Amino acid sequence: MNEELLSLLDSLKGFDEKAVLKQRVQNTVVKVVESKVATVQNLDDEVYYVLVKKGRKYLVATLRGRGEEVDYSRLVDALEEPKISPKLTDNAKEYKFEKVDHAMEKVKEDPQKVIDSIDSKYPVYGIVNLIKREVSLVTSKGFNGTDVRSTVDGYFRAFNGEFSGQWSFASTTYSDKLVREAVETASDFASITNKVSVDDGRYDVVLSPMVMGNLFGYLADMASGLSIVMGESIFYDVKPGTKVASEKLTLLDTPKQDRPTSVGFDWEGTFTRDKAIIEGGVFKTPLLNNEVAELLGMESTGNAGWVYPRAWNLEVKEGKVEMEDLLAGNAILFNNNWYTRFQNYVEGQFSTVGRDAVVVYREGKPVGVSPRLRIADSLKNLLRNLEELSRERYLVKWWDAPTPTLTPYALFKGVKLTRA
Amino acid sequence: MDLDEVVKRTNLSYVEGREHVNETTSIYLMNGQLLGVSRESYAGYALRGYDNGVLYFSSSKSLDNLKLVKVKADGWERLEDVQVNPGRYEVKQKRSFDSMSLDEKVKFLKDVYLNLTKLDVKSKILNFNVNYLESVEEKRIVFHDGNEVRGRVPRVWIYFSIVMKYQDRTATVWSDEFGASGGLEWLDNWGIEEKLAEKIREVDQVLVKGKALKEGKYDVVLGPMLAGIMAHESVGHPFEADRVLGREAAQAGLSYLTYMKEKKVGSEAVTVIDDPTLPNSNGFFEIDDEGVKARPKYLIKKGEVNELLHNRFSASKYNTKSNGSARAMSYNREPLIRMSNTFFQPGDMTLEELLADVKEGVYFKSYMEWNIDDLRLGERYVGLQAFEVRNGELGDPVLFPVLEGKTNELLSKVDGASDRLQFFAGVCGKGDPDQGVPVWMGGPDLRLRDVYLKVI
Repeated sequence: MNEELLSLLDSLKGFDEKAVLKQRVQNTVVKVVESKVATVQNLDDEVYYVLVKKGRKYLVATLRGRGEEVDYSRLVDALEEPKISPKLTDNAKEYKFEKVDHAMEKVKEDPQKVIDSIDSKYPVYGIVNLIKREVSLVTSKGFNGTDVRSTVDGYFRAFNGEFSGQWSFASTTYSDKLVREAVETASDFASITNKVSVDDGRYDVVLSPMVMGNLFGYLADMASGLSIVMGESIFYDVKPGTKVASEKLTLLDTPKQDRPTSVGFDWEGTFTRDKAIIEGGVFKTPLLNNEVAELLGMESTGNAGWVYPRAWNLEVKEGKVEMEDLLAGNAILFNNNWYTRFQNYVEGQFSTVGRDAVVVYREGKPVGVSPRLRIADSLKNLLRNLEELSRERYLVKWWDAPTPTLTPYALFKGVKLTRA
Repeated sequence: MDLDEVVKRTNLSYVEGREHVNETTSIYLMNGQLLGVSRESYAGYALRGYDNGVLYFSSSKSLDNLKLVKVKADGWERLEDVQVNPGRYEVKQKRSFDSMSLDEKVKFLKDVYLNLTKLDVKSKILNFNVNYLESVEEKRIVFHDGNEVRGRVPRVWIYFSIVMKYQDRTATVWSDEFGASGGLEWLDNWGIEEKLAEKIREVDQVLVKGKALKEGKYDVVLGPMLAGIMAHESVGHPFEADRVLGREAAQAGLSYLTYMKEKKVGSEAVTVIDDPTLPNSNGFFEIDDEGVKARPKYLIKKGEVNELLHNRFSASKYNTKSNGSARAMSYNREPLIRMSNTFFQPGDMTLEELLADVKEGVYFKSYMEWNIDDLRLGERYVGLQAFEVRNGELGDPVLFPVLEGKTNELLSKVDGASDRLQFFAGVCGKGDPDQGVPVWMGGPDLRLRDVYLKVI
């Protein structure tokens, strides 16, 4: 298995440790504008990354580009000892996983089916990605692994004049239903009209799965051990075991589930595992590779990235109520958001801009939508003020929430909103 | 088979074949210690053709894998003009990347850290992260008519992120000043240490002495960094014609120009230009990726909408010619309408003259958080280096003032611009699959009258 990679690994002479990682992503993209096809794309990306080490000195590079003639050995020699050095795992096992959705492969050859599934009462805009992803890794510690999977994800935005709604999906198997339901849900949100003005202040807010995917994606980045070490995290001075959120919040990294971007091994040859980042409101663990784990006196969580550990995909545990129950009183529902920016990563002070249907509910009834509203609060407050989550969950991924996330709707109390 | 042959065999009215190489060396340092070095090279081919309203695109490292997957559809795109302007452009380096070894570059960056951590400030520097990048982008584009465009642009960029803390106040200081096309001559010209020292000292003052202002209306002077982000986010993006038309509606959104019919969007003092031809700029090119000659575009002229950023396809929908704004990040991305170097035109007053006429106001020199809604109308900036202006003089630091408003209202309140022009480097994101392209954004100091400021 991976004969070509083994031969490349063998060709890298004079190093104490080395690894070659190949990623091939074959993506068929259908982009729709005003319910019409704008572009159909067939992207075949193949990259070979190499890690070479002498003692603690190391270099990360790509192969098969013009870099091939670079003398890596000389470059590594010229470096000083780094603070952190990637550390390959003593794992000499072979690993092979392949789960390709053959129905999706047919759609990739002829994406007409995707186009024919788009039917809406409003003009819709959106994209569908049909992906076959292959990751292979060989290391000088004897690890030899390949992981091949299919993924489909997409999102649609429907416009009803100046009112709009959006929905997204992600899955490991293709079905026309995914496309149809996303278009339908986006259209349902777009059908809520009547503008309502909301003043600056604190409100009870319900966040849709897309907003949860966006904000918890940032939170997962902050849970990376390297973000913590670099001072770019609300977990900067937080020890595992500390309560950081409402006890209703459990956030997991789930590479072992049948979900988009799941994978069986990390870039250092550690087998991946599902783990709670936050469980019952308590910070359980940062996401770690070998070298950052060593720095923090912990064990790898199977989340390498050479140097930078990161989440594979995310899951937020469900609650016990219906989504409608979250909106039973006075609340503001954010269908979607974008442009989340932090003033300060340690404090977690941020703002994010609401978009599409930001629906104002009074006594459980939608009374209209409010444009140009922002959530301008701190992530720490938000985590503490999580009140309840819906029973039903959705697997989402879209342009501004790129980490696939299975999540319910969630009600947060007393969130600060501002209006431009 | 070579790229020229692939293009020739693609039997469509408009075809581009592109060979595109991006090579980057990155150095990362944390608190003066080396964190890592990477050498990355991404090289491959793209093929794009137009047929019946659909743009078909394919990319691969191998020419053999380029495949346009056709569908039956009356597509959304339109195309009239297919004439190509051939040629080549290149940015020369005065000092090549090889003129310093890797360890000399590491030492240069470490020295910056060591000197700056000796500064006499009260705040503690919790973290000091540095990312140095040098890159070369090369492309060769072949068109349906046999014409060819070649471009070669080397770039250098140093990005700093510094976390400072004084008692219970923390701030993340980041620096986007240091990015441009060219070579290592920029390391001599930027004055990195002096600029960062000034930034650290002033942020220290804000953390130690800064007081929150009282919410209300003030005259505001925005420094070039604020003018730059405003030129980019509030004018450049909404003037991308594909965005106005809805091609990006599901991603980065629409534009206020989608709905706004009046030409007047700002005061007479407001002129905003996008110019890819600025020598040694971060967003430099002379011919775009669709073979159209690049030129300065006056997006807003004296407060009025003047022209949009176009590629061939948006121009066809507007019955006009492309003004050469199409760029692709790499071989595996379609060319999209992109900004290059976007800036407010300077005026004829000095900063002191601008301030002199302010009785009670705030000078925003830099910002931390910013964002804008997906019509590019409602925006927010939180000041970092911010100071009171009293009777024409800069005064005490102000703690994190918040400017939130609507683009057309803010642009209408500009009544003067200073005579200095500064640029800031950025990576502009757009599209799905997403693309980040290098840009400059900039401007002079801008004075706005009677603006409502909030507190965090």
